Amino acid sequence: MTNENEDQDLTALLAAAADGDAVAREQFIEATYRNLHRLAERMMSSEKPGATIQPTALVNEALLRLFSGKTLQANDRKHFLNIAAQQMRRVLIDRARSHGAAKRKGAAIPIEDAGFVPVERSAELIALDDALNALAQVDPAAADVVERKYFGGYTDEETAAILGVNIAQIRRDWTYARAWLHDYLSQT
Amino acid sequence: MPPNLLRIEFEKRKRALFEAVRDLTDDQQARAISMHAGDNPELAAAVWKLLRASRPESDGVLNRPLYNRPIVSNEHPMAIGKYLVERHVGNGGMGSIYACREPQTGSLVAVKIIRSDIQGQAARQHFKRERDILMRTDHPNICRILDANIAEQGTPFIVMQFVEGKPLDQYCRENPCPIEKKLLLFSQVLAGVDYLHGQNIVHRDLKPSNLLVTANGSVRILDFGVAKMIEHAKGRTGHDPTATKASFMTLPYASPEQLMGTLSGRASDIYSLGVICYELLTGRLPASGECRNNAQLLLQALKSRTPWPPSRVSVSKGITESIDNLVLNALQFQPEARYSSAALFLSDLRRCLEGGTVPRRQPSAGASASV
Repeated sequence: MTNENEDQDLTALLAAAADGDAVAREQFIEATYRNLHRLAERMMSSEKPGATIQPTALVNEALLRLFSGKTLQANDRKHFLNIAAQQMRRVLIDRARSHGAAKRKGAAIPIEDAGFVPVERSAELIALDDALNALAQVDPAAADVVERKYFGGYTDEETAAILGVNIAQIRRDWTYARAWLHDYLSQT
Repeated sequence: MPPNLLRIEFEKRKRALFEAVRDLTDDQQARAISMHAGDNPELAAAVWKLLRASRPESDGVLNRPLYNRPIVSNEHPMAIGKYLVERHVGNGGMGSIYACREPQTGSLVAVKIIRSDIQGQAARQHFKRERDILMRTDHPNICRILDANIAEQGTPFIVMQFVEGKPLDQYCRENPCPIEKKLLLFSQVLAGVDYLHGQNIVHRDLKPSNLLVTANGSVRILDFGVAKMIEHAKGRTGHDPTATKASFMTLPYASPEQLMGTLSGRASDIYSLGVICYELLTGRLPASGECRNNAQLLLQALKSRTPWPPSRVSVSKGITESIDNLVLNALQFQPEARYSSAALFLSDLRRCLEGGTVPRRQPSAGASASV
C-alpha cells in the first residue's frame, strides 16, 4: 500500500474497526503501530539519551499524521486513543525484548534505544506485560485501565474519557490492578 | 462449572472482599476477612496477599511511572474532564479554548481551560456555587454555560455553547457598518448585560473579543461571571493575592474602580460598555496613547480629563450630539454618575436611533472638561 492509499483508507478502517470488523481492526492496528514506532524513533534520536518521552505528544502527533486534517467522530477518536495505548505498550515491549536479545548476544544497545526504554527496566517491563496478560484473563476492565494509564501515559481523566467510565471507577480499577499485579509479580 | 468460570468467580469474590476491607484498620480487616472467608482459606490468603501488595511502602513496577509527564505543559490535552478535544481554537486572556465533543451525545462544545489554580475546600465550593448560578442563565445574547469543573491538578475549565462568530470589532471592520448598524449591534450587547445584571451576575471583563457576532448578525456575550467564579484561585505563578484580579481585567476596558483595585459592580460593567461603544463608533479608545498599558497612568488620565466626544475624534459621519452624550454618560469617572443600569443605557440608545434627544448627565466632581 502506498502512503496515500493508506491515508484514504484509514478513516474507513477505523470506523469499521470500531464497529467490530476484526480484519479492519488488525489492519488499523498495524498502521498505528508502524506510525507510533516511526515517531518514537524520530523523537528519540533527536533527544539526549535517557530523555523521557511525552506520550501525549507522541499519540497526538500520530493522530495528526494518520488523519491529516480529517475530523474524527467522537467514537472513532476514542477508539483511536484506545488503540494507540495498546500500541504504545507493544512498541515499548518490543523494544524491551530486543534489548534483552542484544544483551544476550553481547551486542551494544544503540543509544536511542537506551533512551526509549531504560535498559535496566527492560526485564521488569516484560514481566509486567506477562502479568498484565494474566490479569486480562480474569479482570479485563482492570487490565485495560493499567494499559491506558501506564503504557499509554494517559491521566485518570483521559482514561475515563476514552474508556467511557467515571473517574472514581478508573481509580478503583487502578488500585485493585496495582495490588493484583504487584502480588502476581512477587510470586514469579 | 468449567474451571475458567470458577477461576473468574473466585477472582470476583477476591476483588469484592479486598475493596470492602481495604480502608479498614488491621483489626477490622482481620475480623471482616474471617467473617466473609472463614470457610474459604484460599480466598482469605489471596486477599491478605493483595492487602500486603497494596501497602504504600511496598515497592513495585507500577509505582515507577514509565513517563515523566509535566503537570503544566504546552502541548494540547487529549481530554478535558470528560470532553474529548477535537481541536485548539484559540487563546483568550484567561487560557486556551478547545473545540470538544461531549462523549455521550457527540455534540460540539467549546471548552476553556483557565490558567489558574483552585485548591482547597473553600475555593472549590465557591467555584461550584458560582458555576451553578451561571448554568441557570439563558438569553439570546449570551453564550450559554453548559458545565464547569475543576480538572486534575486544580485547573478549572468551563464548557460553553460552541458559537461560530467573529469578535465585534473585527466584524465591524470586515463588514460595511454605518453608525446605525453599529448601534443596533451594540444594543444587543446591552440587552445581554441587562439580563445578566438582573441575574446578579457582573461580567467584570467586557471587551470586544468577548462579544461574538454570528453569521446571522446576532451578538453573544462570552465569559461572564468567570472572574468571580475563580476569584479565590491562586495565580499559577505568584503568591500575590491580587494577581487573579489584575490578570483578569483588560486595561483599556477596565473601569476606574477596577484600576484602583476596589470592589467593582454593575457600574463597572457600564463603564466598560462605554469604552467598547466609544471604540466601536470612533475606532479609538477614550484614553489616548501612552497611558493605555499602564494602570497607574491610565487612572491618572481618566481622573484628569473627560474623553473627547466621539463626534470630534471620528471620521464617520452621523454621530450626533445625543450619541456623544450617550457614550460619555457611560464613561463618567464616578460610578454613581453613570447609567445606573444597562436598561437605561439601552433606552437612551434607542432614543438616539429614533432621532430623539439624549441629555448629558452631570459630569462628576473632580474631573475637568476637556474643552
